[in-house]
Amino acid sequence: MTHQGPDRIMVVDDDPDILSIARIALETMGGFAVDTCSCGHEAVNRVAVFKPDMILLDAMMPEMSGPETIQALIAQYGEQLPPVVFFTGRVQAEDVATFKQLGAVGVVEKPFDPVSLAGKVQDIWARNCGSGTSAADQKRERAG
Amino acid sequence: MQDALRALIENYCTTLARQVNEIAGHIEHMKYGADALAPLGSALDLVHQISGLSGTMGYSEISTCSMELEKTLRRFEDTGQKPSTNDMAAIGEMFQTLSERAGNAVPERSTLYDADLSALSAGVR
Repeated sequence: MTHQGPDRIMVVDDDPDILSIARIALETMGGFAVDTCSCGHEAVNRVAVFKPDMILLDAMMPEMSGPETIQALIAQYGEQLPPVVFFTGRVQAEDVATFKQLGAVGVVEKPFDPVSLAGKVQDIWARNCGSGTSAADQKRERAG
Repeated sequence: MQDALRALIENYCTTLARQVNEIAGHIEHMKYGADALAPLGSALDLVHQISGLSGTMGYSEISTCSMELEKTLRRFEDTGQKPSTNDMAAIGEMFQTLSERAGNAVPERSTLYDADLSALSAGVR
């Protein structure tokens, strides 16, 4: 049986407890292969190795913020970068618009419900991730 | 899966108690220190962590009051304005609520502690 959706998800967050519970939610409950990174620099290096289908990226991290990380990822991987979803408590319309302008396909609100996280990821994929939905594509589309 | 989640929740309760204790020190420093803004960033980082994780760990009542405190502290950080005596009293009250709720956060009170995750996971993909 085949399914449409991501198989491999990378989660980037500086809080180890968030990484642990996201892994449980996505790997054990969602059936995804999950890789975790504790900072933006690590994510930039790990994408080439893990080859995720989607990246969940914390917006507020020390040293390299989420917005800085997505910019570095786009600079490094361009069209090859998979869809990026921000993981954040900032979900006002203007914040979401800013994240999308940076190239994100969506936002998962923090705090998140681990029980429904895998379903949210699937929903975002179903709504946004057809062909031509790399982060670079998204950024270009938003820029008009 | 449930065991792993319970272990994580138990560990989180310990982390939460430590974070609240550290925030208490920063707020005391804000009240009585020479520069009320000096410990603000450290307090804000910890409160932000609690806001982001407590709800996910099944303690929505902690998340609610933590987000309120975070919003208030962030206002002072964003403006660089020093909190007045009244502001500090309000911050102290918000922190007291957070501290009391965190003090009651035993693992068994998490809404995830007894969740039947295996049944829920069956229909995800």
